[in-house]
Amino acid sequence: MVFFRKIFILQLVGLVLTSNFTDCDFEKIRMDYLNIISKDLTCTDCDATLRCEDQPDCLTKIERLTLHPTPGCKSLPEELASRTEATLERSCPGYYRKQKNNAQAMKKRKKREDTIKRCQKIVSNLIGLWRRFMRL
Amino acid sequence: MTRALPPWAPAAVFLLAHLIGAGGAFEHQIINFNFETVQVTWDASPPSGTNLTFLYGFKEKNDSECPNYLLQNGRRVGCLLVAEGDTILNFSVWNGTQCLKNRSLWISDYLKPSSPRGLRVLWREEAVTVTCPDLPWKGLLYEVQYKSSFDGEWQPKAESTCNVTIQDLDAEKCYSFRARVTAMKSSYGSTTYPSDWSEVIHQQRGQPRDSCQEERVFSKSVLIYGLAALLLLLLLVLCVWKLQRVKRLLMPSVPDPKATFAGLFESHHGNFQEWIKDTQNLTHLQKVEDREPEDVLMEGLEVQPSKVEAETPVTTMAGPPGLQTVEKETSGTPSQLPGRPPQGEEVLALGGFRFTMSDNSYVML
Repeated sequence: MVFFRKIFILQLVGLVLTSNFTDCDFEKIRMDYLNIISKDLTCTDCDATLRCEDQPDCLTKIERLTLHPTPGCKSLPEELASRTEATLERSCPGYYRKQKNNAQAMKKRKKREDTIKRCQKIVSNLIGLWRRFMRL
Repeated sequence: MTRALPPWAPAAVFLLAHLIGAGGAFEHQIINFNFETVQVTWDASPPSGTNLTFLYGFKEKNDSECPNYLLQNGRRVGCLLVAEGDTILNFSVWNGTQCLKNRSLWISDYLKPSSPRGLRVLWREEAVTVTCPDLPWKGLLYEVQYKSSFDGEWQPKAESTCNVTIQDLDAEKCYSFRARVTAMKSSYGSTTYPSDWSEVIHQQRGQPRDSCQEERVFSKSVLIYGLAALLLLLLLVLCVWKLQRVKRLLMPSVPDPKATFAGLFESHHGNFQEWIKDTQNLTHLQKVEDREPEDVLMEGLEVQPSKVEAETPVTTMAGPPGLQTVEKETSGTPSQLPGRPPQGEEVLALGGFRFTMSDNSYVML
């Protein structure tokens, strides 16, 4: 019981420590997006509704959209999620991967999940947030 | 076995077509002018001819009507908005109560940057640096194009700031420079527009010039003038040659007696009397075959007796063309028969004519 309590506290601390992305190496993240992540993101009618004001705000919303499934779109391409996580882990001190335990569950759901077209709205928003991040 | 269509099928088809028309048939264009103004224009023309209504809002709002409609032939064809920075624009276009289009987008996706101003060109040996004030946004590309007066095409060079250095240029040549701004795809997407080109700057040897076309014009004009001068020279030479012929035609030159009287100058030092004595048997002038017809011997033959002799009437005889003889006959002996030379005087036969010569007479050619 004590053991599980410690695990819970550590995860909570991890969440708090990486929630603001203020100490990230933004230049390194820009280069990763330019050379790696942008290749996973394409849209034709790139309407977007999500805004962000500064670079930490943009990264917060990017991370949430990429790694946390929403109703109507169970998950995005696995490569996109893993590359985004790797970038954040590399460039943001205190950022830890959160999706290892859910990876197996996501793979199982992927067989039943919607196609990428149904997640296009999320992809459009992600593209908008990333481009806004690049302009800041 | 055929199935009958349900009664609501036609209505469903109608509604579906309506929805598809609302979502996809409305053509429009969006331009974000340097994050200062946003222009939305449309091509749709409702059959009824009514004006469309444009509602918009930046960030989350979407309930303000367009403050500045663009009109064409009295009908609304667009809306001009004042931008509120790098943000999201929500807008919808209505034909009465029917929504023709509803969109939410980043206005940066349709950026058209302003044209670079204050372009400066700095020469440093064989390199040129073109500078201008940067725009206050990241993710832009500053493209400089240059060409010399001898190049046909513009050569491009781009950097992420408006500080572009071009190497290996010849300072002696006149170069033209211009610049524009484009948005990088990674930061703005692929639906942006390049800025208009800046004013063209011309420079040679580090000094500004009004135009580089003068150099080409100058070399062309030199060529043209050179050819014209050469042509004039040729014409002049031709005219001079023609004039010489005309001159010879109108004013034949005085023939050199050397050719006519062989030996006159060589043997007798121009003393015609002596020459005549030696060649007394000649009764006519030898014709020189290579003499031109106009080279006629113009001779003046003058025979003057001495003054102590009595005056006698002067007789002028017309000789062959060009040969004039003025002779004063002395009184002589009245008993002399006409046609017979007086005593003590010689007879000179020349060109078919006979002249009586005394000791006091001389012949002048």
